[in-house]
Amino acid sequence: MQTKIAEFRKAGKVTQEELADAVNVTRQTIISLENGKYKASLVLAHKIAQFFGVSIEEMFVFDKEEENL
Amino acid sequence: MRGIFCQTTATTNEEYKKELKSKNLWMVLLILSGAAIAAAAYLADAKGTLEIPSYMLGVYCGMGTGLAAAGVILLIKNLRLLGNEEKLKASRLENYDERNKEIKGKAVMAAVKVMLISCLVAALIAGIYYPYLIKVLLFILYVFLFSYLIAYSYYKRKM
Repeated sequence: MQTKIAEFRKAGKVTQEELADAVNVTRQTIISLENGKYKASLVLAHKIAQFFGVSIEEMFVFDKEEENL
Repeated sequence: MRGIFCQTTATTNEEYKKELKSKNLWMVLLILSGAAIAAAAYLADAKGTLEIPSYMLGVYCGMGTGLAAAGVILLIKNLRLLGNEEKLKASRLENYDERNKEIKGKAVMAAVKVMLISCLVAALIAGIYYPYLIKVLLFILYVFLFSYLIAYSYYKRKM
């Protein structure tokens, strides 16, 4: 799943480490999320969206084709 | 094995400290169990109360020593974590992280598949030469399947 985490993070001058600490995950998870290798759980998606003050839809790009919908 | 024994639900260092302290009690129990297994095997053999083949004596002593050593190492590791906030946080995140949990879960699933197939193949092949072995291995498979069914129905009701 594609995300806009890297964009929001860079715009807010937040490091991967700081974001990871804020949402209780490892830095590697943030890297995997930014690379689209890992799909966040609903709870983690909420935490990340809330951290940047945006909605989940703004942060995570839901690709219908990818999900076979 | 970390995937099975090291997961945590602690979201703060304080909660994680409590978990580690209760785990330390289990580590002490592990050390005592290991020492008891090794000591019982050694004493039974030394006093001649039980005739234990030398190979099995080695197995019991090795297993007991191994369990005790693992308990000591993990206890020391936990105590060091409890005294260092930075390392404690890193360990908590490592064990709480949802991606790590998923990776561990998938690794456990793969290992279970390999173990089941290995057990079945070993039971079918070795059973020709050692008929008793097929009973033991099939018993292990039945225990696994039975415990899986119980766990499945438990979580089905819970979720």
